Amino acid sequence: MRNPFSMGRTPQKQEVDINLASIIDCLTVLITFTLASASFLSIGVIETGAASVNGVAPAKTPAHVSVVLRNDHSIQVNVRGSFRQSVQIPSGNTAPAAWNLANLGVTLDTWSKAHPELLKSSATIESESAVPYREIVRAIETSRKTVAWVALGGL
Amino acid sequence: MVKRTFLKRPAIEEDFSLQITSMADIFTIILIFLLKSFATGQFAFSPSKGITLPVAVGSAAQSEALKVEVSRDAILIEGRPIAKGAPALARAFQHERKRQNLIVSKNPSVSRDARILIVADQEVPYSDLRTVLTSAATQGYTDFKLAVAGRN
Repeated sequence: MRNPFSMGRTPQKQEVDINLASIIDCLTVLITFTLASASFLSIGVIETGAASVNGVAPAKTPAHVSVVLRNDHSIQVNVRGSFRQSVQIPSGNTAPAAWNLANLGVTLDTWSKAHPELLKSSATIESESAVPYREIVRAIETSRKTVAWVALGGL
Repeated sequence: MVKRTFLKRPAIEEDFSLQITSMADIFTIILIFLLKSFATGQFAFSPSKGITLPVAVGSAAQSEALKVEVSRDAILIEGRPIAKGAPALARAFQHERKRQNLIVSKNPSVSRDARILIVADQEVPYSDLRTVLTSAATQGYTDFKLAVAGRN
């Protein structure tokens, strides 16, 4: 049907071409900028706290696990509270010697099966002076699999 | 052996038209993917040069905290270098605490914060770290957040 308002003119067909070259230029610059400013390292945080500051004791839990990493690559683990346990984990059979944190995890897991209240307990990670930070983080990570709250001790 | 000919070869048509439309599509998808994976949170940080974070499974960093960087050579609090040793660290943390107390006194909606973000090199001995943590804890910074590099 003919448009009554067209006043006799024939409809004009308009072909619009988008200039893609300039869009590609913009996208290339944006991608380069994004890649340059992007951080590909995924950083997380481990939440912990101070177990005892100026003699203030940690919060009351059914039991308290104390983990001490020694300079001779041994780990001393003590549990006090609803039950008492104590064990010294020697360094693993690796060269160079390293703290046997896998054994720490197994020990805590075994104790938690015998004493389920350990799952609601807290732990304190202490360390002697020469122990690298990496091992302390690993000890916190291992302990957190069993106990509810882990804090840094000896402060 | 190459056969030589003196006959005129027909000219090869060199009209290569680049498919710009598909290229624009690809670039758009790449840009969207990069922007999607870009960290845009309010709390984005990256460790300073010379700090290798320990690898562990940690939760996502979601809140602002006082940033303390500990490398084998230096200690930085909020990017400012601090001399090694308990007295200098105690002064620095006391300064930060005073600054925060001033903000709290002027703005009641702000609460006193005990959070501290520890960005430490994985080889730093615990003796160095203990000095920092003890100084921080003495000034009320007892909520430690240890920055770690994710495993994936």
